[in-house]
Amino acid sequence: MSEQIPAEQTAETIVPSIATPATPMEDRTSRSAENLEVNGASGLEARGVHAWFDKHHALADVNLHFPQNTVTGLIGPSGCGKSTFLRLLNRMHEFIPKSAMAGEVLFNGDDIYGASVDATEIRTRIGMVFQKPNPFPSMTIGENVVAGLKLAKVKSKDNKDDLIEECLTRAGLWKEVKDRLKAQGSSLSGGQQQRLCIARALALKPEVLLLDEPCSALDPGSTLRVEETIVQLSESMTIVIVTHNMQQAARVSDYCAFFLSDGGPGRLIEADLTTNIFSNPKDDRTADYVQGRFG
Amino acid sequence: MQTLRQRVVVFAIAAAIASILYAVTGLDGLLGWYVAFALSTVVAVAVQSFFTGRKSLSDRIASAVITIGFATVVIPWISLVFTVINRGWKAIYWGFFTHDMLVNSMDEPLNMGGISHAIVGTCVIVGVATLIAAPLGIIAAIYIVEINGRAARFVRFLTQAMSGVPSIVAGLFIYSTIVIAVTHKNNGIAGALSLAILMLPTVARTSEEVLKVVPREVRDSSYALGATQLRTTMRVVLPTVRSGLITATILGIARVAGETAPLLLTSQYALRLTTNMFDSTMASMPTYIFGALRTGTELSLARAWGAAMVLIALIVILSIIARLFGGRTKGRK
Amino acid sequence: MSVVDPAPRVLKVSRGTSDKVFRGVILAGALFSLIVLALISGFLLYRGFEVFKDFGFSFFTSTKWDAASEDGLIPASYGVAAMLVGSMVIAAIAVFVAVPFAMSVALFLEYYAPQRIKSVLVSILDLIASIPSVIWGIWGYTILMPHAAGWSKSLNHWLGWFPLFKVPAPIFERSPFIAGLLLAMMILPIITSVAREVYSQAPRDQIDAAYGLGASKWGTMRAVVLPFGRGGLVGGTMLGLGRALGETVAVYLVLNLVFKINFQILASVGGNVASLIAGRFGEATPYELKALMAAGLVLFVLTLFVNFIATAIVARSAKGPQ
Repeated sequence: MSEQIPAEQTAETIVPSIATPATPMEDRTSRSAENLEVNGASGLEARGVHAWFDKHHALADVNLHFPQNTVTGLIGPSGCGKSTFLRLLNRMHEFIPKSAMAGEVLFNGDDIYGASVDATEIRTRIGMVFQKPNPFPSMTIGENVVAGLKLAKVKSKDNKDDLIEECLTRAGLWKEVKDRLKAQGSSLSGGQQQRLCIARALALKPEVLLLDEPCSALDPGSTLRVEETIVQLSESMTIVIVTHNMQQAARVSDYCAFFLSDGGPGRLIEADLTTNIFSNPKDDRTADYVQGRFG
Repeated sequence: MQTLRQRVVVFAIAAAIASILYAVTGLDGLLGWYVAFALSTVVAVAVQSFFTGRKSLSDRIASAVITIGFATVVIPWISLVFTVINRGWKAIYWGFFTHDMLVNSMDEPLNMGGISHAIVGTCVIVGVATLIAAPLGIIAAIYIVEINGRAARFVRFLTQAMSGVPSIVAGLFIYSTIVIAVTHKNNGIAGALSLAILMLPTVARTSEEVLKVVPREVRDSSYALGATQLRTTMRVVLPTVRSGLITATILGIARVAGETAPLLLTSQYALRLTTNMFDSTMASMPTYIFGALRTGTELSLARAWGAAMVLIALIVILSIIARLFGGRTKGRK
Repeated sequence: MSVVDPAPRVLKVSRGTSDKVFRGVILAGALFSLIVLALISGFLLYRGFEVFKDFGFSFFTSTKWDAASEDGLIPASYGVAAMLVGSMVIAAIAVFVAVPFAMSVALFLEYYAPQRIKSVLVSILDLIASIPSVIWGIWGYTILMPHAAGWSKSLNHWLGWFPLFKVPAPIFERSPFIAGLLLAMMILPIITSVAREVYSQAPRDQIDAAYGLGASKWGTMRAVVLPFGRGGLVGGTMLGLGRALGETVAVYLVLNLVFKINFQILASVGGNVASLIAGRFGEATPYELKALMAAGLVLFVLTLFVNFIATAIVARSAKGPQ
């Protein structure tokens, strides 16, 4: 059994190599509805959601409920609207000029697109981590973590240093950076930067965390560590993750939602427990995708 | 590839031929010899490639011509720098930087009088111009890149149009508006305003390029944390490009520090050191040089060279500082 | 699954007050440059209007520049034809001389210079570009002019049969030729910078293909780099042209103002609009001042036009060969 130790490791955390994991991540495809904690019907729900880029209809009629404290993976081939859908969930889609949407996104019962809703406030409660790790270049690691408080003008009762330590620990980065909180964010490796971005998002204590292909720019070792972090975080928040990698979806998500476009707008084909999506999907197209017949 | 020996042989042959031509045909002057030398080099190279294979004939000639072209261009540069130093250092003495020309005329011996009024004048006028132009240029760049409203292309077009305004026209404009209509006198402020017109497009264009480098995700992350655009711009984007903006400003300063024409019409010239921008004309380095040159005597010309030396040194130092800042933009590994 | 798609709600980003204020301030600041440009043309037009009215089209065709006589019997007569033609002649000479050398330097820097010294040379190029025109002027007057007068003499001697090189009198100082030569050195860095940028972006794969077919360096440059860089070179040339048209001090120092349309570039006759304004400004009567404003407006419009074309060409060429 060959164990390759990635460069960023410390003695305390050994990440198994991809080839032969010593302690494999729990394969979530075996989880059933019984052993998932589902607390009531509030949380995040999309009803009849459409999206347009100017005149181009990109997403049609998506109805999806995200159970609390679970991980939902949005899977499907590229270009079928998964990232667009994700951005509709925290009102980032509207930054694109001439964009349009229809339908409702209910967060704790209220439509986030309601007339009196403050979008910037929504974003402090529904956080997002992007594909390319991007710590703010002008700030140190410590400043990056609490940047959200400053930027969103959120008053925190916690002590700053405690908050930094808590967020970095939850993101799985504390041990590696606790001695260099004053270093620049750019001095970290790609995987560490992405975990810093996760810690940064956590500082605002969001109820939902959206992740847009967070590992696609990372090496396999870093990917696994980020996935571990995601699973741990799902104990206390709802997570939605867009991913191209089916194995990742299998490892990380409790539910999967399969999107597909037939040349027209992207549509939600099937959403179910990850178990069911992978072992007996209801739709033929889902079956074809998870078995790798196209992608 | 040619060996060093081959190259030396080529040049030697060329030099020999040139000297012969020079003596024989009476192609006079330095230029005559140089032209002959250039032509002979080309011919020698052509002949040489005959021996090494005709295929590379055009290639060899082309590289000879291009290299000679480059060398020719460098000659006036060397001449300029050499002349400035050679003729300028005579005028430099300690008092050159501490005296003005209130009590001395341009034609007096070089150990009297100085350019203190011109140096201070340039600092004041360019400084005020910077205070006006730099923020406006950066704001224009922020509008184009960050806000990117419907008028963005129009603003960009305008900024570029403004960079084509001839310096004399900028001076004429300020004269026709501020000097005639508002203040009724030539003063330092008018000079500063005319320089600001010339400086703004430079700052705006460089700032725009610097802002464009900031990756989209950095802004997106800030918005995703619930920040407004104001806070994103002020607390994330601008701090990231701070050194780039400083570079843009310094480049703008270097651009206008040597401008003469607009100042001839606005702040003109004065004999004494003053920092009062409103009540009287004001000396500046370029107008001092111009005035010394116009006086035309040997001594005044020496002063002109001396001041020219100081001015060039100032601009070179500014450019180097700008380069140093530009190379250390935060966020680059 | 709905049969009919719902009507899309166009999303407008909702902005708080702080953002609205911020965006307003930035917009106002950005439009400031618009205001300035408009004011420049406006005021020059306003002040020079009387002159345009009095002379009409002849302002552009007359070469006379005379103030009114003392007794008021002979009215003033102003026309920019001589200076306008002078501006263009000098600029043309400058461009004609500068462009081949600019190409040489650009090609040398990109493809012939050893890598180690290339960045040094580029920095030097940028520094030379920032040398103020008054210093070029003083150098041109003291160093260049004596030599160039000698060259003019030779040119006239050997090629004097050609109308361009005839002279009415054997005085060779202060000619458009010398002014053009000096301007050429001043605009060379701009043209070179733009050309270098474009040449450095020549498609690597096409270059490799040419080499792969056995072409020499020059052959490759002729086949790939030069055609690709043509647009950029033209754009850079026009930028240099714009600068040359508006150059004041350097021309003023090496050229006397003589109000005649002159194409004999070796003769001591010439001037350009910019140096006209600078030269006559000091002692101008109020009426002459208006004429100078009018002349300034003409120069402004001309350089604006040239720069506009230049920017368009450079922008197009940046997108690659069409």
